[in-house]
Amino acid sequence: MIDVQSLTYDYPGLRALDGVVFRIERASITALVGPNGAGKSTLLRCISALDEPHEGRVLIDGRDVHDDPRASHRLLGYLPDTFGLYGGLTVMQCLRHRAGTHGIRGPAQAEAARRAASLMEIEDKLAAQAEELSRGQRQRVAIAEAIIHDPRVLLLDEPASGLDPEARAGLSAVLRNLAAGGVTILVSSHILAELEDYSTHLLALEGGRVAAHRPIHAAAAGEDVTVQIALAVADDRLPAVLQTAGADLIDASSQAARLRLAADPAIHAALLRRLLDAGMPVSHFAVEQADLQRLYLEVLRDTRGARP
Amino acid sequence: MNPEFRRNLWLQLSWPKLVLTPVLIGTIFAVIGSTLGIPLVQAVAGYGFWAATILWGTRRAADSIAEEAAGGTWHSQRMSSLGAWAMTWGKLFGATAFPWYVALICLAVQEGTWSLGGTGVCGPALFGRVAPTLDTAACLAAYGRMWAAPVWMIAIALSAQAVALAVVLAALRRQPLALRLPVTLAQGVAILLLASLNQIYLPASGTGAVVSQGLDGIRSLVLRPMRWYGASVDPLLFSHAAIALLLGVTLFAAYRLMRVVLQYRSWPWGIVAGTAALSILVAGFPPVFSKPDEAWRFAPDALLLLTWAAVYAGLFTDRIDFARLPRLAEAAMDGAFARMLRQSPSWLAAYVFALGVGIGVAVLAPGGQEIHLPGAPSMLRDLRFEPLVPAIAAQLLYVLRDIAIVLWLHLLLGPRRADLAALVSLAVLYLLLPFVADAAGLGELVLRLRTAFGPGIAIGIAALQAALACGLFLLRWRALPARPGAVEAGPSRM
Repeated sequence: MIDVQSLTYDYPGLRALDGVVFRIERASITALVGPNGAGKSTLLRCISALDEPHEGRVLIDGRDVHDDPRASHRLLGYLPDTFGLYGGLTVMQCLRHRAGTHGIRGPAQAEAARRAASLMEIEDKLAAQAEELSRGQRQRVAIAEAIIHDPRVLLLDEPASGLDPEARAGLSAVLRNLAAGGVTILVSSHILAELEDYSTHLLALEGGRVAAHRPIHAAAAGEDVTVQIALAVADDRLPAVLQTAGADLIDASSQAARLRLAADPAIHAALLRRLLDAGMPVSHFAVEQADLQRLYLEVLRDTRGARP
Repeated sequence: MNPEFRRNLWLQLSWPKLVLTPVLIGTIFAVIGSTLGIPLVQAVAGYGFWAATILWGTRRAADSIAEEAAGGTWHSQRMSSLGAWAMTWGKLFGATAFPWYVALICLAVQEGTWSLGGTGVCGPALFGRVAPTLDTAACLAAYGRMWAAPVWMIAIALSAQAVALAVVLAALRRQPLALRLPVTLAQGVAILLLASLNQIYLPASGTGAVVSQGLDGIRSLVLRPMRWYGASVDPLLFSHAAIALLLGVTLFAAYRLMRVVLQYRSWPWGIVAGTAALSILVAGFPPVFSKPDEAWRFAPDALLLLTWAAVYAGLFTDRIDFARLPRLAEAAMDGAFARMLRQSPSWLAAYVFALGVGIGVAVLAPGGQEIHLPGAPSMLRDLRFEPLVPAIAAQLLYVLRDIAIVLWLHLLLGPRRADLAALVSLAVLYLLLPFVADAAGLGELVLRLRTAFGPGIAIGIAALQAALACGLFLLRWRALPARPGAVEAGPSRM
């Protein structure tokens, strides 16, 4: 869906992107992470055809966005990190204007505005002036503007900054719904816990280069997963039973254990059966969820360690 | 409706404003009329029109872009699918809607007061009042010629606003983070434009003449033809045609710049066509002491000068985008000249055009010209021009030198300080150094060299300077670090 090929972008005296290559599949949500100055915002502007790279190409559905940027914009929705709204207009007018600039005409404009407002849960604010809204509400209006023309690719730069926890949860739900509807989403954020909620992939940039691009969940990446086990009552046999089952123990005590296992559910079921057959009171058996923070720090450590 | 126009109307106009404004303006004019007389109403209404359209309207036109850049909404506009022309006229007419509303009320008052006995051109004569100093028939004829005055006033005001929009668009492309000064600059340029046009239009239309000289003024100005390319042209017709041309050119310029900032790929024919059109217009006015039928002799000079001027205009208005230069070189090496031209910055396209014009002029008029100007002072009566080829080649090399200096300064100082440094450098090169060189006796040395090596020495001197400047630029270009250590890094908001 998004195919970035050898993208290089220079500011005078500064290489912001250095031969960036990756491919993002349709309907995925990719978390774009990296330290300040890693090139995240520049990358988003290049993908959205707002900035032209020195070298390389960005293909969306096989079409180079820089060959005809205006045509590409019909496929793209973009929320920059610093966005603005027309404060003197009502939310409805803001949304109708944005719909109009995307070629939506007549009654369809108001319909599109209501649909976007409904997705962002701001229907009750349609008559309010944009300048009267809170930071979080303004953020929702801006996202609604970005998605009003049903883009196939959505690029969001720090979409959750300024949102309260409830609004962030709402944003997660919206993004998951959009992805389920076939929209490919690339989200840049420093709030990793929030990205973890809805992202399917991690794209880490470091010094203008791709440090890692992989599915967030180990199973999807074809890797072993970490399984957590806890017993209701301590049993000294637990480590031994797990070892005889061939598990790769990370740590184990008489009451709890963490181990690496293949991502195959049948293997998990077999291990659980073995523990129960051994008479162990298993109270918790679960695959450890991805920890984006840990994953990100590991990537940074590996990248910096590998650098001469 | 154009969504950009509608958005501006939503922001600019409201029912209370629409209702209260004419009431307020009407009250003011009623007070002036009843206490100071109708003529003053007419004068104030005229000034009101120009104040609303030029002082206020140009500011609004320029702010239509600057406010978006400052407010963070410009990215969204660039990401929209709205066409460049729709964006241009949506902003031009939308952002200035309220000033135009006020201006049109003033214009209606000014026109309406003709029938109320305003002194104007022929008011008294037209409506049967005693006007011993005015000839009714002549006045009717003059008024008939002026009926379209409001149309041309509107055209002039619209041109000024288009200029303001174009200046800010150029500034946005050039230096997106600092737009307050360009807004004021845009307004200044527009006001200058109005002042210049009034100098042409008002005397030609007879208005100025009537005010200052009465009927004889009308006769002398309306009846005296202008000469353009040696032909006799009605001055009013000419001024109308010039204003129409200006309106077309300024709207076109704003549209083309909007295309650029909205990332449309364009062939660089706009700057070529604009330069050529302006050359044709200007070349029709040869030096005052020349014979009318010799006007065509000056056309190549006008074209050459304007093409060179176009290079500098592009160099100081277009974005200096070093990212694009390798792409252009790559396209040239691939033989993809169409791609190269469509991605060329305007100064490069103008320079290529200037090269073409220079070669054309050199081929068509290679030898020295002799021009006899009987009306000129004795020392200018028989002019013998130098052969054109060395002069043209040398001047093109000097333009190349200046391009290299500006680019070098951009690399050295960054965009914010480079422009001023470039202007100072060029001023030193063109205004100060010639005097210093002359005082140091270098002028005599050049004359000796010229005697020894012929006029081609001028090319050698220019080539040496161009090579030095290009060398400086290339050295700096190659010395750019590829890793952090930014000279002037920052996100584009263009």
